[in-house]
Amino acid sequence: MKIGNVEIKGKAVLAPMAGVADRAFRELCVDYGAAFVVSEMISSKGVSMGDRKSKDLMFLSEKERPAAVQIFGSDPMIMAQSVETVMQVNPQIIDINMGCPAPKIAGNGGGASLAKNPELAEKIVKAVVKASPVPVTVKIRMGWDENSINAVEMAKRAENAGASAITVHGRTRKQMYAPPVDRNIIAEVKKSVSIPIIGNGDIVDEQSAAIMLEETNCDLIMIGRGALGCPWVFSQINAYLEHGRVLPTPPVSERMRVMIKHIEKLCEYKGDYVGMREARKHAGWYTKGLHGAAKYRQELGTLENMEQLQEIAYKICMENR
Amino acid sequence: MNIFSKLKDFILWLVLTKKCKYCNTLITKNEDLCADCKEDLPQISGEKCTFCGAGKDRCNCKKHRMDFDGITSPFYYENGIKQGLQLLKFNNKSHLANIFAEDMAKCVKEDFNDIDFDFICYVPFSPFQTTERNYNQSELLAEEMSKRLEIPVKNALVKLFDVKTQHDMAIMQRKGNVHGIYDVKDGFSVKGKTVLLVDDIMTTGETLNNCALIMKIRGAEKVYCVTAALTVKEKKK
Repeated sequence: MKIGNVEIKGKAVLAPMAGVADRAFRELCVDYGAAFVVSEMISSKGVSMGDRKSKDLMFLSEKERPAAVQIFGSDPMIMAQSVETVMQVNPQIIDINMGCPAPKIAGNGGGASLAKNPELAEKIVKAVVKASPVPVTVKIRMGWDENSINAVEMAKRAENAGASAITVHGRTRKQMYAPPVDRNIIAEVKKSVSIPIIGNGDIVDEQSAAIMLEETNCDLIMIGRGALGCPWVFSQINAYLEHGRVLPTPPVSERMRVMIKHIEKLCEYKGDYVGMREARKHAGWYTKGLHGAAKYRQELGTLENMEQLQEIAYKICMENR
Repeated sequence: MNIFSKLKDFILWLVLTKKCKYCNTLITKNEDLCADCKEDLPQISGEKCTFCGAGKDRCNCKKHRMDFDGITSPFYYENGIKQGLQLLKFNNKSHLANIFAEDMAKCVKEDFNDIDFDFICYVPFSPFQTTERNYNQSELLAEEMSKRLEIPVKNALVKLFDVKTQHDMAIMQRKGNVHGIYDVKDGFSVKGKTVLLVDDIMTTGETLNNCALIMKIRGAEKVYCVTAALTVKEKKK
């Protein structure tokens, strides 16, 4: 299928996840068959001020394609201005963040708080679409809270303003990440616009992916936290959706191998110091639920170097034989 | 009879008789195999179990996921094949490596035909084992296969201890040796590599499993195994 003029192969997209779905993880997900990946969110204001952190976040390697860069902010002009800089990393798509529930973002007028101001949201989309040479997509939530569910209105306005696709996360901002996702709202949005819809929320495996597609009739699904510690989920989803095959979970040794590969990439891209520190949370996800994982949790939380990691990985493999 | 005619008989005996290709029994010159091997060669044929490499008709494994990505083998460790491999291992009949490598290479070409191997390696001897034997039979098999498959052989693995003596077991426990008895050789990189691992016989699979596991922990992408023979557990009746 196509988003704007961009050809998309496969059904499962990797969600933007700040501080987590970085280049190393995104590359792995592409290897496993993600249809496309989205960068960590980038502040449009930061970009326009030449802020170092925003600059660092704005990176897409050749190994992670097709890819979208996600920008957030609340000023249509600044959002539009940031497009030129963003295009330097050659994204296939630009995504507008209207779904982040974090107080730092949503408390400052951007992210999910744009649901409280659909007119402003529409202006932002219009401005970015005008400035962007590539298709623009928008990620929204169900609404601000249970009393203001307005995903359908937001979607229609986005379509009007020229968006090429919309991702809908079936929760309100108030709900953060807690209660089970509401798929009805995603189905309603799908019925109300003609551009592609990406369904997002609580997708963790091939079954939940299939259910989302079936119940909402959406065009693609987006998986975020469900992929952490298990990037092979993309292969599993693809195999199921394309051929009805259920691929078994990889054996523990394979999982540990991927974890080590991931963390090596992290260190390669970010240096050993930052790499190993970021590795700690990933190692936690990769080892979750395995025999002996609880025993090593503390050690993994204070991971310092690869030797340590390899030793723990080996021990966990032996305990799970 | 005098000594010269005895000598003549002996030379004639050497010249006129042949040995069975696999088990080394004396046979007549016209044959390649002895009667037993001809009739009852324990070949693995037909559909194979993907977990243990045995034929589906004889597989009795618990379908445990191994740490290696595949296993292939031409024979069961029985009859003449068992004899021949014991001769190779214990009786210095090194020429048998060439014989078995032929069948092993054929298996690799059939079962792993679309896999691009970076190198071949073999289950190593410990320093102590090296002093005990004239050669490592798995190393010989690996070298013969390397010629046939045109893949380089690398001495990638080391065996750190022998686990048979109490002394060595105590060392392992004291050091908190977590890497078991096998490891990748210091300074050798297996990062991102697709490896073909060779051993003479697979019994429980533990040796191959441990070697494959440590290679993956050190960064190998895939490890496939080939052995000359494998043991199948008998089904309990």
